[in-house]
Amino acid sequence: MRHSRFISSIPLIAGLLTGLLFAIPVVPLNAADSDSRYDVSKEVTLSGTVSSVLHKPAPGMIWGSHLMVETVSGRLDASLGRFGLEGKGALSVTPGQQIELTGVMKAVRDKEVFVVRSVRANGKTFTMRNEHAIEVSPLVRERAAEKGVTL
Amino acid sequence: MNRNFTSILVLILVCLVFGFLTGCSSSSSTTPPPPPIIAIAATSGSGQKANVGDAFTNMLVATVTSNGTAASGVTVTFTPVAGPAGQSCTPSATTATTASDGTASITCTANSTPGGYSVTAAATGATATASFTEGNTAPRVFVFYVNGLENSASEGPVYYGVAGAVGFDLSGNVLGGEQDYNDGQNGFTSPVDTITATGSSMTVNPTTGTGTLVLDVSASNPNVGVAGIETFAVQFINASHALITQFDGSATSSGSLDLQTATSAVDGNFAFTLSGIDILGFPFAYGGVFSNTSGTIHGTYDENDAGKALVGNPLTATDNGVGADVYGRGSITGFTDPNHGNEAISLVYYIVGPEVLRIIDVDADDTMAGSAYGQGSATSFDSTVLSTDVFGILDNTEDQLFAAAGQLVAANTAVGTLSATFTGEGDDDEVGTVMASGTPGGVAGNYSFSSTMLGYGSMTDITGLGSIHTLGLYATDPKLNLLDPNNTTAANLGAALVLELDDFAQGTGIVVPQGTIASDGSDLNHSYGFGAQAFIGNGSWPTGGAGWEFDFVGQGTFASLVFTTGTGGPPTPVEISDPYAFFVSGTPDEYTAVPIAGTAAAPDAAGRYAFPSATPYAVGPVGGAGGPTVDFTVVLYESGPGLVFSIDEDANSQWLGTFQEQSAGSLKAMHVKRGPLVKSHAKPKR
Repeated sequence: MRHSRFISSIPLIAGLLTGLLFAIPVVPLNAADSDSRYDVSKEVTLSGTVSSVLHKPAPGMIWGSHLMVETVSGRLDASLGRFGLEGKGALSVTPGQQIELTGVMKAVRDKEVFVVRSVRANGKTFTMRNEHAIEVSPLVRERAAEKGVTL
Repeated sequence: MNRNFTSILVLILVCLVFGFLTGCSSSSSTTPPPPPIIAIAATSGSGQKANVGDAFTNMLVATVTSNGTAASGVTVTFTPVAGPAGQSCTPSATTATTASDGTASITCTANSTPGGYSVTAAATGATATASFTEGNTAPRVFVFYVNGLENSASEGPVYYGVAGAVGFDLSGNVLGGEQDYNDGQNGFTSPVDTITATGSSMTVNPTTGTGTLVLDVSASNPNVGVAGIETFAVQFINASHALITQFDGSATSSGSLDLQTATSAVDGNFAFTLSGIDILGFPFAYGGVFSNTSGTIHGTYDENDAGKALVGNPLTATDNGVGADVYGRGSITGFTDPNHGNEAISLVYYIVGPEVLRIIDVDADDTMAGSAYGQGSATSFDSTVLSTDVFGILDNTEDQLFAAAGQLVAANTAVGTLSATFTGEGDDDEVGTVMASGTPGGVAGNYSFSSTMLGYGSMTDITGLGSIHTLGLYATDPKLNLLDPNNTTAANLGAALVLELDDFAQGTGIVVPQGTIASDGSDLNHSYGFGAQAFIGNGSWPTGGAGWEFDFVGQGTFASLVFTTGTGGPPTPVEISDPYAFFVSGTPDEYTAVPIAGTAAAPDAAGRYAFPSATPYAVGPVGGAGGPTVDFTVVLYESGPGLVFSIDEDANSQWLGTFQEQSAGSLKAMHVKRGPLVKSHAKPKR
């Protein structure tokens, strides 16, 4: 089942309707930012279904791993960065799985890419980048867990 | 007669008895005088340093006292206590007798191993010994530092830095050395790794300057390199400077190898930048200025920690000096990380010369590497620090990954003016995306220097250079060569260090003056040593967590804009360290004798050279005739004939590197592994 919605505790149907009402205007293609800087004020949370998992970028994609996610507004290229699927405690998802993504839509090389800050899957939140979009490496994950730091 | 005899006998007996009783009485009622207190002290001659094989300049003098008074005629035994690498000295005599002033002296001759050790002096009757601290030095010491990406067994690819010093004899044999290697708590420890003569070597082709440096630290740290053996590809520019990259598959990195010209006294004003990973493993970087007055450090610095920039932090620290270390290794305490509760940052430095320090953070849970450069005798820096300059900035390998280079033209500058504007032209590749590509006049911004903190400044409101909008700017001695510190005859001296202070990355770089550029490219008609640190988007090793860096050094020649690499050897340039399998998918390797060829177009007015697609900067075949050849999109910015920045801006790779003009004559004079040095070149000024 392919769908997209905002994070919400309301029932699924209501969520879908809400998503249909607001998701498209929140993430229009022309809203993408071409600057590498990550503007947390533009952050949105989307929901969708994983259609493919790319541990390495396809030609033309930005570096790192990617998820292709089906949303109500179409297929989304979600960039997880170099470390998103690597190391202990890394995100592990499979095609067909429903996930929630928080991030900012950017225009990179004339293509839309959703720069993911966190992924919610399997009942857990996986942090891909910090609030400035600096990627969270396996080392950072490990140390944050050791020190009890929330990323 | 008999009566007389009897009387005499009685008298004798009486005397004997009386004497016995007197003696008994005396022994039971009178305390004998205490034995004299014999003491020995090292009066002079301690703290000396001498080249291996040379006698120490001053005698080792011990003074013996008896009850505080000079004791003559006492035998003093001198015993060298060898250091861990066998460093010691041969005394002129093992014993000496004190003279009337209580002194006993010897001379001592350094053995063949550099390092610190002691000589003890023991006096007959004394309970304690005296100790002399001495050091053997190598006739020729090179300081090195690199930073890059290590392939940690426990963590996978992760940032690391190394700084150290290696000593050579006059025939080019490695005598020993020491290094600090830190990857921030990923299984390797520092300090200090001892570089042993056995197992270490350097071989250099005297024609091309291409060589191999092998450092054996296996006895003290078998976890680094390959079982404690580190191999570096080196590319000499002249007799006192080389580009280096680790070349053994355990890690890859880029850095510099420079002749040491001083081992102590680093007082003065400095600008610095450092870059590495913080206690959480995020990338972070520092930049700033400080004064060092007899070990007391005051200054101001900026920090960018994973995109959070804290600027104008006050700096109070202590330079603990070099002490007895024979390789110019000292330490600084008092730095802190304001982004993490002011956690202490412990720094170690190796002195290249009076105005250049290679610095490494040796904390267990964070690490950085970088340099401090002197500000000379300047008492003020204003807008004239910048004029017409070129710059190169490269990100931390743990960071978002960008490379930038370009030209800046400062406008409206005047002596005493602290704020000014600039325009320029630049190239910027961010994570494989070209954000700026040499648009004439496309770069602009403001810059200023503090009126109170010497050489502390910033560049702000930068436009036309991708996501780079704010840089820390730290002025250096305008007479100092930032890339080749011992070469002050070059034209590209000064001008400043920079630190990226935006929230997307924390790269560091330099700004150097640009001379007049020949419009036909004839400026480049020279032999160059070159190298670069490259970040890649398609690393393929190790599986399940591929790395993202390769590095290379090499030698080549421009002739009428046609670039070709040298063919002399072995080793034959170019040497590419590719442990993360960029060139051949799934196959990490270290490649030698890789040809590079390309023809650049004539430069534009900013000194920017591009390699057209028809004559690209082609690297290969890599790994032999059947290997791949990769065409890179390379742009050059010329500072002058002596220094050219290179930047790669491809979708799967980006690098920042330099071409540095070679001095063929001095390369021949170096004679590493090939004969004695010219005496005047052999002994650094100390």
